[in-house]
Amino acid sequence: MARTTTSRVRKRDDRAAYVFLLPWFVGLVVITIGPMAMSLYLSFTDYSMLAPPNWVGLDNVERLLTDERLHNSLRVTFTYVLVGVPLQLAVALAVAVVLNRGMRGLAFYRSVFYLPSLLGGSVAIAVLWKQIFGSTGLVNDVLALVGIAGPGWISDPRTALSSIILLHVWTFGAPMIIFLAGLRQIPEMYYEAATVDGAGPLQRFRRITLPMLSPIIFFNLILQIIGSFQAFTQAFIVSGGSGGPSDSTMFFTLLLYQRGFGELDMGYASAMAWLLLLIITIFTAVNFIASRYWVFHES
Amino acid sequence: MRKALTVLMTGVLAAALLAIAGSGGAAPDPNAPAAIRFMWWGADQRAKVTTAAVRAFEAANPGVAVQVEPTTFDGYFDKLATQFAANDAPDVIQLTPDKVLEFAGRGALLDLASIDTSKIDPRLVQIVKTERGQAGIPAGIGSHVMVANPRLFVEAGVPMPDDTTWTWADYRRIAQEITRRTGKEGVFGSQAFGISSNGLSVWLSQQGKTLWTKDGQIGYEAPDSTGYFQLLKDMSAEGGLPTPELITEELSAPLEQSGIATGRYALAYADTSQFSSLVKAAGEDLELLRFPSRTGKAADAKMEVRSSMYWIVPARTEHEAAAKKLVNYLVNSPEAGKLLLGDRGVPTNSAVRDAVRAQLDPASAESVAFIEEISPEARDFVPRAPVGGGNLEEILKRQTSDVLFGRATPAEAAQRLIDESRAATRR
Repeated sequence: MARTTTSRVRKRDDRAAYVFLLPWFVGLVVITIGPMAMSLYLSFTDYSMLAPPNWVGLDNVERLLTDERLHNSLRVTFTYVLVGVPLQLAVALAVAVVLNRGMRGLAFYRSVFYLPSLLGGSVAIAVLWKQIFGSTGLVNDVLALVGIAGPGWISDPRTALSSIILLHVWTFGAPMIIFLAGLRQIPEMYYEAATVDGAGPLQRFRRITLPMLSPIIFFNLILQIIGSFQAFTQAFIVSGGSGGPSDSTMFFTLLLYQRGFGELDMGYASAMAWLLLLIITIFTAVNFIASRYWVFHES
Repeated sequence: MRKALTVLMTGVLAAALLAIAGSGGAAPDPNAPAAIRFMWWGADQRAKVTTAAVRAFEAANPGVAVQVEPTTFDGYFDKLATQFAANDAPDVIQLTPDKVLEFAGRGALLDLASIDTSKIDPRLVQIVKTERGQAGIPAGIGSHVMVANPRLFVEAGVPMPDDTTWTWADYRRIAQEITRRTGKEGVFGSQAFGISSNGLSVWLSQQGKTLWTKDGQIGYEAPDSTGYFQLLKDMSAEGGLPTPELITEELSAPLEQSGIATGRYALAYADTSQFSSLVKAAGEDLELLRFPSRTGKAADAKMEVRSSMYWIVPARTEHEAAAKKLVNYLVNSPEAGKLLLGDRGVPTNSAVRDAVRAQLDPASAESVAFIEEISPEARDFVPRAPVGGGNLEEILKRQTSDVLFGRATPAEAAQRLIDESRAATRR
């Protein structure tokens, strides 16, 4: 008797839980799983969006292998990730260590450094970047004061990508905040003990801070790599959607967008999206495996 | 950071799902009340006059309500493709000629053969006729021309060229002289060419070639465009053109900020339909010129007179009759013509053109006169881009930029132009 009552109550509770979950579940199916399944299907088709999709089997995969502009876009994207992410994390960590010294007005500095992270991916900042690094922009105005004629940073294929990487590094605030939180977790006594034993600041950083912080570094690394592979807005705005000059800022996602919407080649663009997912998955997996050798877990 | 693309992609994929779910058509009744949607790109001025014309149409056609959807050129085709995929496209749409055939080739457009085109130059109409019918109705006549700023010529002490006799060599010399003699920061003899396929089209026509053939193949070979890139390179090296960096930056700048609109370039390339806006933005006198020729004869300049945009109706519209009525009104009604004036170029219907002539602003009147002046010597209509040919613009820009930055020789750029165009149209 008592048992049936409890199970009935539980059943009712379960039902309530499902009802509350429903909005999330509907959202998941309609705007994530549904479109994902659809794009998987489309990646095996020739789909112009104007006419119904046409099944072409593995044609798109074959094209992925021979598409030179795609290979170039991979080069650009990998450069962006492999240079931009470590650089950004290094800056974030350096600033976090300095701020962690407990200086006055810490909250203020923290906010100021965090601000670019909130704005960095926005259209407004990309437009601003375009102004600052234009051939008649702020940077060149300053350089002109000391007699240097700067190039058109974002319009010269040799420097365009670097300018966008710089924009990425500038948004170091988000990982910095996470580093700061991590630094606060390191017990002060380790440093005291090390100081007593005669360890200098550099040694304390290498022997205590880095290992103790390694799980946080790992977390930031994974997050930034996944995000950077999908970077789109900066390159789109700074290059006016062209990925130029000379494809030097043609990020993978930008090419995907051009193939899909510009050339009405949505089947191929879908295949590209799945290739990107595959690349990110591999990178993340490799990172997790490698983490066993350098991430320190205290326990 | 990646939200913009995610939103777009989700839109497309959700749209594709919906499209596959599909829906049947209803039996049409030509006089049933209908609410249709009408989309175009353009500046505020265009939105104002077009909306006025639409309201006049509604007054003349009770039972048809038109929802206007003016938008910017930036992102126009993304929006359009997504709407077509979702079967949610507007019923009347303004489209560029190369995209008209692209859309028609995929069976997305309604046959508009029943619309009266008797007062329109048949060549403008023929050019977008496919085996599936009349894909579009020409919305305004224009020509790709050169625009000159007389003030900069005077400042440099260089005489304005006679455009019925000037050659490419003259053009090259003049551009360089103006840059050198004005000697002002940011002032250059000529805007760069090679950033619009219209210019390349003229260049090829002067050699008896075309961008595309009637059966949708590439109409020229690599050596035919090598000289084009070589001239670009030479003029850039001599300083007749802006620096490669400036050229790149201006690729994405709006018309009002272009070098000719801000009084910094003595010569530039434009469509006659843009002339009135350019003069307004520049705030000073500008002049229309023919392209230079190889021989120094106006007829050999091979200027093209064409419709710079077309009206189209999607094949899957639910309001075929009402949509056709609106297109017919926009093109053939003098009443609409008096409101639209020269905003989309010279009115294509000759009766409408005569009716509005007196009302045109001076710059628009100048465009009309110029078009009429070059019409007798203009070249025959060349075939428009086949499916996939709409990508030529982007392909050409890349080659131009490679040449300007020394990443490709003119011969290499010419070869890549062919290779990439071929790859784009193969599908």
